[in-house]
Amino acid sequence: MGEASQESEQRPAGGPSWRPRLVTLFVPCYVDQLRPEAGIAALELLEAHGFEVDVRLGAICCGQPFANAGYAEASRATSEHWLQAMSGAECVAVLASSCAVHLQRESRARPPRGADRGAPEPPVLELMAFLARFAGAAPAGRWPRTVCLHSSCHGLRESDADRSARALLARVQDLRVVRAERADECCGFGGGFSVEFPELSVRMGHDRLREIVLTGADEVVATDVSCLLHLEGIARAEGVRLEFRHVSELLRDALREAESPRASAAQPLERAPAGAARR
Amino acid sequence: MTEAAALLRARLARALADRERVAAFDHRVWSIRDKRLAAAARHPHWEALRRAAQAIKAHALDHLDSYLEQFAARAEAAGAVVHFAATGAAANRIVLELCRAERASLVAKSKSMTTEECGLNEFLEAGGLEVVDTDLGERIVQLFREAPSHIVAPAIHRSRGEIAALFARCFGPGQEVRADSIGALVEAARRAMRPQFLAAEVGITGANFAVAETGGIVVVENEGNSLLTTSVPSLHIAVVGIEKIVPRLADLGVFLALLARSATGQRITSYTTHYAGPQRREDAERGIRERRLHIVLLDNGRSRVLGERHHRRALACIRCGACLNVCPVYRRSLGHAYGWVYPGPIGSVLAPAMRGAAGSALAQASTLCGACTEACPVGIDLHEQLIARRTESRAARTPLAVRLAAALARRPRLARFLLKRLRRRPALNRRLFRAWLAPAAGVPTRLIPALPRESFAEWWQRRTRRNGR
Repeated sequence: MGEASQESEQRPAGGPSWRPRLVTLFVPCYVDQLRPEAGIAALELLEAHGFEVDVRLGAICCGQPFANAGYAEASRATSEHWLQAMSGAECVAVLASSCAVHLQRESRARPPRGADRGAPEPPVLELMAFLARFAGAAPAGRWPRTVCLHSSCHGLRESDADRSARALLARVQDLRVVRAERADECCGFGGGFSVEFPELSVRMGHDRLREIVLTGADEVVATDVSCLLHLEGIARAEGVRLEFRHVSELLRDALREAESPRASAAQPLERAPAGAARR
Repeated sequence: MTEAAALLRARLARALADRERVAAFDHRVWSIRDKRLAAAARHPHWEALRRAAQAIKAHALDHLDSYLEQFAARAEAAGAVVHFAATGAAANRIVLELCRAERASLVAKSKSMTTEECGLNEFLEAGGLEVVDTDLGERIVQLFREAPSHIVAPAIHRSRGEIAALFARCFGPGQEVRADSIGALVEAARRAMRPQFLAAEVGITGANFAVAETGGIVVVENEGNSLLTTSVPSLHIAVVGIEKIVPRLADLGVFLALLARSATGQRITSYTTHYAGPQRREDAERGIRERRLHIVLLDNGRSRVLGERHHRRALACIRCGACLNVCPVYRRSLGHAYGWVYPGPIGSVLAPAMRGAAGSALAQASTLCGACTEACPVGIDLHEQLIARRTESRAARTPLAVRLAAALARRPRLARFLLKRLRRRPALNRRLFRAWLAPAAGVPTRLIPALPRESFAEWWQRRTRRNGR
């Protein structure tokens, strides 16, 4: 898998008519392990939009956690491994804006490669930005619910992810997208921050959750599963009944709903008894 | 987690325990953010102004040595006396000597974070002087015997009721202080402070800008207390950080517009005072009184920041407080949890250079959400600088756990093999995730994610096999 295709000759992909045929989907480590449904939905959503999708199991982590914690060398080595693993791909779609921002930065910081030194680097796009660019005009299905889009900080301030997700959701029929108060406020996850300052992290999440609940939304979607796992953990502890899903789960279901209404109810994967989980 | 970080966590957790105060603090600070956004939106060239400020400051910092010389020469030509202080302690000694030479017993001070940074009040008091802060917020925290919680609004962590009780206690039984009216509180403070203004022998201020071209300093304020502080006593001492230099008078057109809007959402503050040399004013009874202006230019770690490639631009800070107001951590800290004079993102960036190793832990207390960088009127990439501070604070040798994690991150097959086994062991997971469960009176307030039987990679492999690929 992963042979560079004909179209890849046109890279770097700037041309207005360029559209990748084969997309390599990168599902970050924590999504892979903790929320596979998001990865599956992303893959099915890409396929529903007519892309051939490839997954390369040779990469698991983008390196960002190391960089943010101040371990620059560990980050560089990990990112380098990731870029190697993706070498020759036509285009990589990343299922997390924070990983995508980090990888784009690492990719730019890398010394340019000559034509004789192997395949050129693939463009790296966050999944929502990818879809907005290459499938933004396609039918987006139907989803008759009220949803709150939680803006992740990387998606909002450092990439197009949030704007792209909003644009994609706006095309879904019968979907009401609501904004919480203080929509640009961080949820308090922050990677290592959530472990080093758990009291503060939880309070920030609690405050976000309160604003989200006030919107009356049936479900919460975001471009980053990390925010969702954090918010969901607080919601469950506080007995707040809300569904937390990646945007691609909603978009996939909306397409299915439009095809055959009611047949779409996504079957939750079987789960091990959760550690401290309680409902 | 280092000891300093653990202490910081404990201070932040203690602040959080005061739920109502944190909620009120958060609400008040957030409202300044809204005012800034509204004021910025009304300015037709806001982004151009930010870019101009960034360019002017970058130029000024690149040539700080020559601009400082120019400033000092022109200030002295205008009749001021200029001192250079390498440290806060040196600045304090200079100020105390000047006060002693003046045979002063009462010093009036206007708002100055630079003197807070030096601990000037405590030093002068230990030297036998009485010091009265005349900015209302500063006066309130002085009477409470505590530090400012915000660099623009020093008493924003206090409620109106608390301030009324404080005034009733401090201003004597003759004072009627009503908590239901801000006007009444201000009036009470004004009555108590007026005699002190008139009796003070020395007035101390900071400065918002020092103009190299003219040798003048500029103070912006809303209460007029700074004007009184400098116009009654015959000696005016200004303690000014060396990064306050702007090259030309015309540059103020950029910075005054940015500062007022970013700090309080005002188009311009009530008073903008230019001091070019000492004031000369005729006194009807005593003829022309001799007045003197001394300017203490303070380094106190600033030249160290100037020498740090990644952090030099942090010296462009105009102390507007915008990064504090947007910071979700600051707004839940009551300001004091940071443990030093400059809280919030800018403080955490400056702390390691200005406070040494003790300040390094502050950079940990951030989710790196980037709201500070987005808000900064002079374009300081604050959250990137926080990451750089974390990198700098790491020991030369990476801890074993991090090296193991990084090694696994490059061995996806092994990592997935181990993670698969880990997912099957809920008890072990609970232990590993324990740090995630914030203990609030022993009750977990965040639950760990439920663990799936099958990871995405396992699903993909199963699907690939099924499809015979």
